[in-house]
Amino acid sequence: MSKIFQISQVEEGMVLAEPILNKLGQVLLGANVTLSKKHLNFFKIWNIDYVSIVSDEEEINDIEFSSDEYELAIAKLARRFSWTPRNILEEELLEIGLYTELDKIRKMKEGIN
Amino acid sequence: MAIKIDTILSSLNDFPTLPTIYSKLMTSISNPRSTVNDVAEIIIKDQATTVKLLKLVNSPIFGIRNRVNNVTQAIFLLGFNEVKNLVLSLSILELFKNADDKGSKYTIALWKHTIAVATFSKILGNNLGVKDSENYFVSGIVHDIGVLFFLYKFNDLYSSLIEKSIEQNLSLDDLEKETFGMSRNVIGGLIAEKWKLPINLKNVIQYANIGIIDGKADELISCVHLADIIAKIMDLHYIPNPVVPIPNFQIWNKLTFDKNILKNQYQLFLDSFQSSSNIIKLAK
Repeated sequence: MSKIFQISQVEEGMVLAEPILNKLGQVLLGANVTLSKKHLNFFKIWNIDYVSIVSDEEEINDIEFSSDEYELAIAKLARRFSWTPRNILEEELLEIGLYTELDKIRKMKEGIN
Repeated sequence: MAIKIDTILSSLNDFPTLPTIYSKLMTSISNPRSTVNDVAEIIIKDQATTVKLLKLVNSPIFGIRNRVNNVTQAIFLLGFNEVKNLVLSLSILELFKNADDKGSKYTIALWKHTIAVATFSKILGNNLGVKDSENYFVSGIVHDIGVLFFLYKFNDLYSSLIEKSIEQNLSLDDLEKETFGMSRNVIGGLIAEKWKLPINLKNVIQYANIGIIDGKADELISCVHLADIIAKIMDLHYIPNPVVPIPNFQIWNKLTFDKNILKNQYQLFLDSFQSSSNIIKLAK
Protein backbone atom coordinates (compact mmCIF):
# COMPACT_ATOMS: atom_id res chain seq x y z
CA MET A 1 0.00 0.00 0.00
CA SER A 2 1.13 3.56 -0.56
CA LYS A 3 0.36 7.05 0.59
CA ILE A 4 1.03 10.48 -0.90
CA PHE A 5 3.25 12.66 1.27
CA GLN A 6 4.18 16.30 0.92
CA ILE A 7 7.96 16.64 0.73
CA SER A 8 8.11 18.40 4.11
CA GLN A 9 6.67 15.27 5.74
CA VAL A 10 9.10 12.82 4.11
CA GLU A 11 11.82 11.41 6.37
CA GLU A 12 14.97 9.35 5.93
CA GLY A 13 14.22 5.66 5.93
CA MET A 14 10.86 5.94 4.12
CA VAL A 15 10.59 3.83 0.96
CA LEU A 16 9.43 5.19 -2.39
CA ALA A 17 6.32 3.39 -3.63
CA GLU A 18 6.48 4.84 -7.15
CA PRO A 19 9.39 6.14 -9.23
CA ILE A 20 10.00 9.86 -9.50
CA LEU A 21 9.94 11.00 -13.10
CA ASN A 22 11.03 14.23 -14.73
CA LYS A 23 8.85 16.13 -17.24
CA LEU A 24 10.16 13.89 -20.04
CA GLY A 25 9.11 10.75 -18.20
CA GLN A 26 12.71 9.76 -17.41
CA VAL A 27 13.26 8.05 -14.07
CA LEU A 28 15.10 10.27 -11.58
CA LEU A 29 14.72 7.83 -8.70
CA GLY A 30 13.25 4.33 -8.89
CA ALA A 31 10.54 2.71 -6.81
CA ASN A 32 11.48 0.80 -3.64
CA VAL A 33 14.46 3.06 -2.92
CA THR A 34 14.98 3.71 0.79
CA LEU A 35 15.32 7.47 1.11
CA SER A 36 18.47 9.00 2.54
CA LYS A 37 19.30 12.61 3.43
CA LYS A 38 20.95 12.92 0.02
CA HIS A 39 17.69 11.95 -1.70
CA LEU A 40 15.72 14.51 0.33
CA ASN A 41 18.17 17.21 -0.81
CA PHE A 42 17.69 16.09 -4.43
CA PHE A 43 13.92 16.56 -4.06
CA LYS A 44 14.55 20.24 -3.30
CA ILE A 45 16.81 20.61 -6.33
CA TRP A 46 14.31 18.84 -8.60
CA ASN A 47 11.42 20.95 -7.18
CA ILE A 48 9.48 17.85 -6.17
CA ASP A 49 6.43 18.67 -4.01
CA TYR A 50 4.82 15.26 -3.43
CA VAL A 51 5.97 11.63 -3.47
CA SER A 52 4.31 8.26 -3.06
CA ILE A 53 5.68 6.35 -0.06
CA VAL A 54 5.16 2.72 0.94
CA SER A 55 2.75 2.75 3.85
CA ASP A 56 1.10 0.25 6.19
CA GLU A 57 -1.86 2.54 6.69
CA GLU A 58 -5.03 1.45 5.01
CA GLU A 59 -6.42 4.05 2.65
CA ILE A 60 -9.93 4.04 1.32
CA ASN A 61 -8.90 2.58 -2.04
CA ASP A 62 -7.13 -0.32 -0.28
CA ILE A 63 -10.20 -1.44 1.65
CA GLU A 64 -12.45 -4.11 0.16
CA PHE A 65 -16.15 -3.41 0.01
CA SER A 66 -18.95 -5.76 -1.01
CA SER A 67 -20.80 -5.18 -4.28
CA ASP A 68 -23.89 -4.12 -2.25
CA GLU A 69 -21.81 -1.49 -0.49
CA TYR A 70 -20.44 -0.23 -3.81
CA GLU A 71 -23.95 -0.03 -5.23
CA LEU A 72 -25.14 1.89 -2.19
CA ALA A 73 -22.21 4.33 -2.47
CA ILE A 74 -22.85 4.84 -6.18
CA ALA A 75 -26.58 5.41 -5.58
CA LYS A 76 -25.85 8.03 -2.90
CA LEU A 77 -23.31 9.69 -5.16
CA ALA A 78 -25.74 9.78 -8.08
CA ARG A 79 -28.15 11.84 -5.95
CA ARG A 80 -25.51 14.53 -5.55
CA PHE A 81 -23.96 14.51 -9.03
CA SER A 82 -26.36 15.51 -11.79
CA TRP A 83 -23.68 16.09 -14.45
CA THR A 84 -21.44 13.88 -16.58
CA PRO A 85 -17.65 14.32 -16.43
CA ARG A 86 -16.23 16.04 -19.51
CA ASN A 87 -12.57 15.19 -19.04
CA ILE A 88 -10.24 12.94 -17.02
CA LEU A 89 -9.91 15.43 -14.14
CA GLU A 90 -13.70 15.63 -13.74
CA GLU A 91 -13.79 11.82 -13.71
CA GLU A 92 -11.32 11.99 -10.82
CA LEU A 93 -13.70 14.33 -8.97
CA LEU A 94 -16.34 11.61 -9.32
CA GLU A 95 -13.87 9.10 -7.86
CA ILE A 96 -13.25 11.39 -4.89
CA GLY A 97 -17.02 11.41 -4.42
CA LEU A 98 -17.06 7.60 -4.48
CA TYR A 99 -14.25 7.42 -1.91
CA THR A 100 -16.23 9.85 0.28
CA GLU A 101 -19.40 7.72 0.18
CA LEU A 102 -17.42 4.50 0.77
CA ASP A 103 -15.68 6.18 3.72
CA LYS A 104 -19.07 7.02 5.22
CA ILE A 105 -20.17 3.39 4.81
CA ARG A 106 -16.95 2.17 6.45
CA LYS A 107 -17.43 4.57 9.39
CA MET A 108 -21.05 3.43 9.85
CA LYS A 109 -19.88 -0.19 9.95
CA GLU A 110 -17.22 0.68 12.51
CA GLY A 111 -19.55 2.88 14.53
CA ILE A 112 -17.42 6.00 13.96
CA ASN A 113 -19.11 9.43 13.71
CA MET B 1 -39.88 37.61 4.00
CA ALA B 2 -37.67 40.15 2.18
CA ILE B 3 -35.22 42.49 3.89
CA LYS B 4 -34.79 46.01 2.55
CA ILE B 5 -31.46 46.90 0.98
CA ASP B 6 -31.10 49.84 3.41
CA THR B 7 -31.33 47.42 6.32
CA ILE B 8 -28.64 45.22 4.80
CA LEU B 9 -26.32 48.15 4.20
CA SER B 10 -26.77 49.55 7.70
CA SER B 11 -26.16 46.05 9.11
CA LEU B 12 -22.90 46.08 7.23
CA ASN B 13 -21.80 48.98 9.44
CA ASP B 14 -22.36 46.78 12.49
CA PHE B 15 -20.37 43.88 11.07
CA PRO B 16 -17.05 43.66 12.94
CA THR B 17 -13.95 45.31 11.54
CA LEU B 18 -10.72 43.36 11.37
CA PRO B 19 -8.60 43.45 14.53
CA THR B 20 -6.14 46.33 14.74
CA ILE B 21 -3.20 43.92 14.44
CA TYR B 22 -4.04 43.48 10.74
CA SER B 23 -4.27 47.19 9.92
CA LYS B 24 -1.02 47.84 11.83
CA LEU B 25 0.66 45.08 9.82
CA MET B 26 -0.67 46.53 6.55
CA THR B 27 0.74 49.96 7.47
CA SER B 28 4.08 48.57 8.57
CA ILE B 29 4.56 46.29 5.56
CA SER B 30 3.72 49.05 3.09
CA ASN B 31 6.49 51.19 4.64
CA PRO B 32 9.71 50.35 2.74
CA ARG B 33 11.75 51.21 5.83
CA SER B 34 10.07 48.59 8.01
CA THR B 35 12.35 45.82 9.19
CA VAL B 36 11.57 42.23 10.08
CA ASN B 37 11.79 43.21 13.76
CA ASP B 38 9.28 46.05 13.28
CA VAL B 39 6.75 43.65 11.77
CA ALA B 40 7.49 40.91 14.31
CA GLU B 41 6.93 43.38 17.21
CA ILE B 42 3.36 44.04 16.04
CA ILE B 43 2.48 40.35 15.98
CA ILE B 44 4.24 39.44 19.22
CA LYS B 45 2.10 41.96 21.15
CA ASP B 46 -0.92 39.74 20.38
CA GLN B 47 -0.06 36.55 22.20
CA ALA B 48 -3.06 34.54 21.03
CA THR B 49 -2.30 35.32 17.37
CA THR B 50 1.40 34.55 17.89
CA VAL B 51 0.66 31.10 19.31
CA LYS B 52 -1.79 30.18 16.55
CA LEU B 53 0.47 31.58 13.83
CA LEU B 54 3.43 29.47 14.96
CA LYS B 55 1.26 26.33 15.25
CA LEU B 56 -0.06 26.91 11.74
CA VAL B 57 3.35 27.60 10.23
CA ASN B 58 4.75 24.43 11.83
CA SER B 59 1.89 22.25 10.58
CA PRO B 60 2.61 19.82 7.70
CA ILE B 61 0.43 21.74 5.28
CA PHE B 62 2.84 24.68 5.29
CA GLY B 63 5.72 22.49 4.26
CA ILE B 64 8.51 24.08 6.28
CA ARG B 65 11.11 21.41 7.06
CA ASN B 66 12.70 22.90 10.16
CA ARG B 67 10.74 23.93 13.22
CA VAL B 68 9.88 27.64 13.36
CA ASN B 69 10.29 28.83 16.94
CA ASN B 70 9.42 32.49 16.77
CA VAL B 71 7.68 35.11 14.68
CA THR B 72 10.93 36.58 13.34
CA GLN B 73 11.91 33.19 11.89
CA ALA B 74 8.43 32.82 10.36
CA ILE B 75 8.81 36.18 8.63
CA PHE B 76 12.29 35.27 7.32
CA LEU B 77 11.07 31.95 5.94
CA LEU B 78 7.70 33.00 4.53
CA GLY B 79 8.08 36.70 3.85
CA PHE B 80 6.08 39.74 4.98
CA ASN B 81 3.10 39.19 2.71
CA GLU B 82 2.65 35.53 3.55
CA VAL B 83 2.78 36.19 7.30
CA LYS B 84 0.33 39.06 6.83
CA ASN B 85 -1.99 36.68 4.94
CA LEU B 86 -1.81 34.14 7.76
CA VAL B 87 -2.61 36.82 10.36
CA LEU B 88 -5.56 37.90 8.19
CA SER B 89 -6.74 34.27 8.04
CA LEU B 90 -6.56 33.90 11.82
CA SER B 91 -8.31 37.26 12.34
CA ILE B 92 -11.23 36.29 10.10
CA LEU B 93 -11.55 32.89 11.75
CA GLU B 94 -11.91 34.73 15.10
CA LEU B 95 -15.13 36.25 13.73
CA PHE B 96 -16.68 32.79 13.59
CA LYS B 97 -16.66 32.78 17.39
CA ASN B 98 -18.78 35.95 17.40
CA ALA B 99 -21.27 34.36 15.01
CA ASP B 100 -21.27 31.14 17.04
CA ASP B 101 -22.12 33.13 20.17
CA LYS B 102 -25.38 34.14 18.49
CA GLY B 103 -26.41 30.49 18.53
CA SER B 104 -26.24 29.68 14.85
CA LYS B 105 -26.03 25.94 14.36
CA TYR B 106 -24.63 26.46 10.88
CA THR B 107 -21.64 28.51 12.04
CA ILE B 108 -19.56 25.49 12.98
CA ALA B 109 -20.42 23.83 9.68
CA LEU B 110 -19.45 27.02 7.80
CA TRP B 111 -16.19 27.17 9.76
CA LYS B 112 -15.34 23.57 8.76
CA HIS B 113 -16.20 24.33 5.14
CA THR B 114 -14.02 27.46 5.22
CA ILE B 115 -11.04 25.55 6.64
CA ALA B 116 -11.55 22.82 4.02
CA VAL B 117 -11.62 25.26 1.09
CA ALA B 118 -8.58 27.14 2.45
CA THR B 119 -6.61 23.90 2.90
CA PHE B 120 -7.61 22.44 -0.47
CA SER B 121 -6.89 25.74 -2.29
CA LYS B 122 -3.37 25.67 -0.85
CA ILE B 123 -2.82 22.05 -1.90
CA LEU B 124 -4.09 22.80 -5.42
CA GLY B 125 -1.84 25.87 -5.58
CA ASN B 126 1.13 23.72 -4.49
CA ASN B 127 0.24 21.26 -7.28
CA LEU B 128 0.59 24.12 -9.76
CA GLY B 129 3.91 25.13 -8.22
CA VAL B 130 2.79 28.62 -7.14
CA LYS B 131 5.23 30.48 -4.89
CA ASP B 132 2.61 32.27 -2.81
CA SER B 133 0.45 29.38 -1.64
CA GLU B 134 -0.38 31.22 1.61
CA ASN B 135 -2.34 33.62 -0.63
CA TYR B 136 -4.34 30.56 -1.75
CA PHE B 137 -5.00 29.63 1.87
CA VAL B 138 -6.35 33.06 2.83
CA SER B 139 -8.42 33.15 -0.38
CA GLY B 140 -10.19 30.02 0.82
CA ILE B 141 -10.73 31.63 4.23
CA VAL B 142 -12.48 34.69 2.76
CA HIS B 143 -14.41 33.03 -0.08
CA ASP B 144 -17.73 32.68 1.84
CA ILE B 145 -17.43 35.78 4.05
CA GLY B 146 -20.86 36.83 2.80
CA VAL B 147 -22.41 33.72 4.39
CA LEU B 148 -20.75 34.56 7.71
CA PHE B 149 -22.31 38.03 7.48
CA PHE B 150 -25.80 36.58 6.92
CA LEU B 151 -25.38 34.18 9.86
CA TYR B 152 -24.01 36.94 12.07
CA LYS B 153 -26.67 39.58 11.35
CA PHE B 154 -29.72 37.55 10.26
CA ASN B 155 -29.11 34.30 12.09
CA ASP B 156 -32.68 32.92 12.32
CA LEU B 157 -33.75 34.08 8.88
CA TYR B 158 -30.67 32.76 7.08
CA SER B 159 -30.81 29.46 8.97
CA SER B 160 -34.40 29.08 7.77
CA LEU B 161 -33.26 29.75 4.19
CA ILE B 162 -30.64 26.99 4.48
CA GLU B 163 -33.31 24.63 5.77
CA LYS B 164 -35.72 25.63 3.01
CA SER B 165 -33.03 25.00 0.36
CA ILE B 166 -32.44 21.49 1.81
CA GLU B 167 -36.12 20.54 2.21
CA GLN B 168 -37.34 21.90 -1.11
CA ASN B 169 -34.13 21.37 -3.12
CA LEU B 170 -33.88 25.06 -3.95
CA SER B 171 -30.80 27.09 -4.81
CA LEU B 172 -29.54 28.91 -1.71
CA ASP B 173 -28.12 31.57 -4.00
CA ASP B 174 -31.61 32.29 -5.41
CA LEU B 175 -33.13 32.38 -1.92
CA GLU B 176 -30.48 34.91 -0.83
CA LYS B 177 -31.33 37.17 -3.77
CA GLU B 178 -35.09 36.89 -3.11
CA THR B 179 -34.72 37.61 0.59
CA PHE B 180 -31.85 40.07 0.80
CA GLY B 181 -31.82 41.50 -2.70
CA MET B 182 -28.27 40.26 -3.11
CA SER B 183 -26.28 37.05 -2.87
CA ARG B 184 -23.36 36.25 -0.59
CA ASN B 185 -20.89 37.26 -3.32
CA VAL B 186 -22.21 40.80 -3.54
CA ILE B 187 -22.37 41.35 0.22
CA GLY B 188 -18.96 39.69 0.51
CA GLY B 189 -17.59 42.19 -2.01
CA LEU B 190 -18.93 45.04 0.12
CA ILE B 191 -17.25 43.56 3.19
CA ALA B 192 -13.99 43.30 1.26
CA GLU B 193 -14.25 47.01 0.50
CA LYS B 194 -15.10 47.86 4.12
CA TRP B 195 -12.05 45.91 5.27
CA LYS B 196 -9.87 47.30 2.45
CA LEU B 197 -8.83 43.82 1.40
CA PRO B 198 -6.46 43.45 -1.59
CA ILE B 199 -8.19 43.30 -4.96
CA ASN B 200 -7.27 39.63 -5.53
CA LEU B 201 -9.17 38.61 -2.38
CA LYS B 202 -12.17 40.75 -3.33
CA ASN B 203 -12.19 39.04 -6.72
CA VAL B 204 -12.15 35.60 -5.07
CA ILE B 205 -15.12 36.57 -2.90
CA GLN B 206 -17.06 37.85 -5.89
CA TYR B 207 -16.13 35.32 -8.56
CA ALA B 208 -14.92 32.01 -7.07
CA ASN B 209 -18.46 30.58 -7.22
CA ILE B 210 -18.64 31.08 -11.01
CA GLY B 211 -14.95 30.29 -11.54
CA ILE B 212 -14.07 33.04 -14.02
CA ILE B 213 -13.60 36.80 -13.97
CA ASP B 214 -14.46 39.04 -16.94
CA GLY B 215 -15.15 35.91 -18.97
CA LYS B 216 -11.64 34.51 -18.45
CA ALA B 217 -10.05 31.93 -16.17
CA ASP B 218 -7.72 33.08 -13.41
CA GLU B 219 -5.36 30.72 -11.60
CA LEU B 220 -6.28 31.77 -8.05
CA ILE B 221 -10.04 31.97 -8.67
CA SER B 222 -9.95 28.62 -10.47
CA CYS B 223 -8.19 26.95 -7.52
CA VAL B 224 -10.70 28.30 -4.99
CA HIS B 225 -13.60 27.36 -7.32
CA LEU B 226 -12.30 23.78 -7.55
CA ALA B 227 -11.45 23.62 -3.82
CA ASP B 228 -15.03 24.65 -3.02
CA ILE B 229 -16.35 21.87 -5.28
CA ILE B 230 -14.00 19.29 -3.72
CA ALA B 231 -15.17 20.36 -0.24
CA LYS B 232 -18.78 19.81 -1.34
CA ILE B 233 -17.90 16.42 -2.85
CA MET B 234 -16.26 15.43 0.46
CA ASP B 235 -19.35 16.63 2.37
CA LEU B 236 -17.43 19.41 4.13
CA HIS B 237 -20.17 22.01 3.68
CA TYR B 238 -22.82 23.75 5.81
CA ILE B 239 -25.51 21.96 3.82
CA PRO B 240 -25.36 18.20 4.54
CA ASN B 241 -24.89 15.93 1.48
CA PRO B 242 -24.70 18.94 -0.81
CA VAL B 243 -25.45 18.73 -4.52
CA VAL B 244 -22.15 19.08 -6.38
CA PRO B 245 -22.15 21.87 -8.98
CA ILE B 246 -20.48 21.30 -12.34
CA PRO B 247 -17.10 23.08 -12.50
CA ASN B 248 -16.76 25.97 -14.90
CA PHE B 249 -15.00 24.28 -17.82
CA GLN B 250 -12.63 27.20 -18.32
CA ILE B 251 -10.83 26.46 -15.05
CA TRP B 252 -9.15 23.49 -16.75
CA ASN B 253 -7.26 25.94 -19.00
CA LYS B 254 -5.43 27.06 -15.87
CA LEU B 255 -5.54 23.92 -13.70
CA THR B 256 -3.43 21.65 -15.90
CA PHE B 257 -2.87 18.95 -13.31
CA ASP B 258 -1.18 15.65 -14.07
CA LYS B 259 -3.47 12.66 -14.48
CA ASN B 260 -4.46 10.91 -11.22
CA ILE B 261 -3.13 13.70 -8.97
CA LEU B 262 -6.59 14.75 -7.77
CA LYS B 263 -7.90 11.31 -6.88
CA ASN B 264 -4.56 10.20 -5.42
CA GLN B 265 -4.67 13.16 -3.05
CA TYR B 266 -8.00 12.18 -1.47
CA GLN B 267 -6.26 11.04 1.74
CA LEU B 268 -3.99 14.11 1.68
CA PHE B 269 -7.07 16.34 1.42
CA LEU B 270 -8.62 14.55 4.40
CA ASP B 271 -5.47 14.49 6.54
CA SER B 272 -4.62 18.14 5.81
CA PHE B 273 -8.16 19.28 6.62
CA GLN B 274 -7.99 17.38 9.91
CA SER B 275 -4.61 18.90 10.71
CA SER B 276 -5.73 22.47 9.92
CA SER B 277 -8.97 22.18 11.89
CA ASN B 278 -7.15 20.80 14.92
CA ILE B 279 -4.81 23.76 14.92
CA ILE B 280 -7.42 26.43 14.27
CA LYS B 281 -10.05 25.26 16.72
CA LEU B 282 -13.30 27.16 17.07
CA ALA B 283 -12.55 27.40 20.79
CA LYS B 284 -14.18 29.93 23.09
